[in-house]
Amino acid sequence: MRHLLRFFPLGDAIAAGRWGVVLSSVAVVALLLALPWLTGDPAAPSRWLSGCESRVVNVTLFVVVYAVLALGLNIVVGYTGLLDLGYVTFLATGAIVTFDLLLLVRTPEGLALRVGENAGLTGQPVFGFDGSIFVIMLIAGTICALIGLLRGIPTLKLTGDYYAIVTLGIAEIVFLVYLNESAFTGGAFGMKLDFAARPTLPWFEDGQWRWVKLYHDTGAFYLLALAVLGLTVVLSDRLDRSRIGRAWAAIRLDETAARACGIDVSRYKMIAFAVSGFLGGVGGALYAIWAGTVAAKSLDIWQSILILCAVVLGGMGSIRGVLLGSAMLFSLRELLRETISVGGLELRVPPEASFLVYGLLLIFVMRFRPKGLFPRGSGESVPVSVREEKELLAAPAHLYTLAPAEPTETGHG
Amino acid sequence: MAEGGTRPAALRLRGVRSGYGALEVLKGIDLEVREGEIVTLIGANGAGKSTTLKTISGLLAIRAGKITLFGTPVGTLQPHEIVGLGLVQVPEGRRLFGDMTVLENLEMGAYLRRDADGIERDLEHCFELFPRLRERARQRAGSLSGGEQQMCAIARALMARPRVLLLDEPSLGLAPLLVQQIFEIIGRLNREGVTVLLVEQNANAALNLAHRGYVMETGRITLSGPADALLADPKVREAYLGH
Repeated sequence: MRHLLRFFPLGDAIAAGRWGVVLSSVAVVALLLALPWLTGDPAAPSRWLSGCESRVVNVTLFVVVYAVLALGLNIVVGYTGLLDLGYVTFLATGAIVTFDLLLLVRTPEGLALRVGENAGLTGQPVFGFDGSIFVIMLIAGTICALIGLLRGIPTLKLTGDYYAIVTLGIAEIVFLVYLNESAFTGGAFGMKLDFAARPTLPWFEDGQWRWVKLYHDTGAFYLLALAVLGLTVVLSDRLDRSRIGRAWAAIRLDETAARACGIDVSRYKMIAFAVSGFLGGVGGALYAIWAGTVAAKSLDIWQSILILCAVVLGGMGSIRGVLLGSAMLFSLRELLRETISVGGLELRVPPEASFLVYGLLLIFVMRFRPKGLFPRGSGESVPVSVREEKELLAAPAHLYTLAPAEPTETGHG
Repeated sequence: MAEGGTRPAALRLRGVRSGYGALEVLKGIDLEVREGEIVTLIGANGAGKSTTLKTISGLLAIRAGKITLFGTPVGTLQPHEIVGLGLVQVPEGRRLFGDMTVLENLEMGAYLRRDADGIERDLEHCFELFPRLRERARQRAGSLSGGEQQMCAIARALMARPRVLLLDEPSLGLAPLLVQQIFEIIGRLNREGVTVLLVEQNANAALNLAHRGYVMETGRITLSGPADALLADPKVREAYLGH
């Protein structure tokens, strides 16, 4: 039983009887599922569905999408211990791939992308079949996993600041490419998902199953995003506690020691890059549907920094921490966009200034909780007291070994 | 102590050169460790002792020459492949996983092994060799004292079930009593069948333990022979034993 339990994210907590952790986790999941109902209009035909259009659910959905990205970044930053400053590459690629696939149409002249000046084209969408979103997420994830591997080749031998700088540089190159290759990114004008291009999911409505188009306020999309986040949490947790996770931990703590233990450092780093990229691509796909429009210009370095902030704020390598960090940072981001009226005065934080607030938040966290709000559990470790150490040095030799002490010649010393 | 002259070579270096960047540290090393031996490599700071070990274990790329382990060329293999062939290094400065517990560190040592029963037996053996580690099993390795850390580093290497063990300065920074302890353990491991290549600054202790020794100066082997002979050699006594 205990063995079986280990396969589930809360298994260890249940086996160890840490009911506080179990109950709070279940409560969070229940709250997320019930949130549209709580914020819905009691008079609406479906209170739950009407709640999906509320501001609260929309912000929650935004947080959920970014939490997938933050958990993806956490694989490299939190588990493997490499500072990745270019994670936006995966968000951007995932989103652009999603747009391109959804805007790909079959016309009498052949395949065409409804991007830029071709936006008005009509034709049969190639990915217009029902349920195509799952295929698209897989493709976006796979492409980003490959980019992760590709990016791994020049960065494999780099650690610390050097890795950070190179990932930052690569992300800038990718950013400029996307900005200029307007044929498949829409360039500075971006791309837009219209009704025809929207993917569908099945939904039970008016007594029958039907396919509904996905928008940021569609109940089916909210559930899809929650499911993806749930799977990401399970995947992260399983990986962290697997042989792969042990190798990542060893690399994070001491790469040379990891090599001395027989760990193929290059291979496990590559696995981390691929998994992290895959999750970034899937997160990017969700982002694309959520946003409905995307301009390459908006997917810049600050996205990398913001996602990284969420990971550091919550606690690197801690799933609960990263979730909490994402919830705080990304809901704060939405809050800062609100306009508050005080006595006829319209108060609003300028978008450029919102990073000041994140900066202050990070400074406070680093000052008072340097390992993040919800740090990675450090086990039952207890530090050795100075007294014990002194005793150790003073204790007679026979305390340390069961081997019969052999006379050692010291005549030459 | 120089028996074993007929035993097959466990580790053999022929004309090995390596270094860092433009700096060539090893300028053609010939060295041999036979099965069941303790061989020590002594020399002053900067002679290239640690570089030799790093090159053998694959942490540093070989530039010329040949390294064979039980007859298999290993010069171009990756570190993890060399560990898989039974050559394990206790790195200089211990290099424990500070945030893991002692037990987790030992488990990491057995990373390449799949035989759960064997791992369990070897863990018990490590705790028997180093009873302090059993007491500290659930503590953070980073919280251990220097001596305990050295014990943990050796035990972690043993968990890989090495046929050849490379030790880099195990006595560094330890109280004399602990040095004696560590050396006794190395002797015991050797009697249990582990071949040992020991790099030491503490030449006296190392030569007292070893069967044979090599003296290294600025990237070259300048002297080699049975440990007794080296201990008696006037040049060695003057340069490394303080006589």
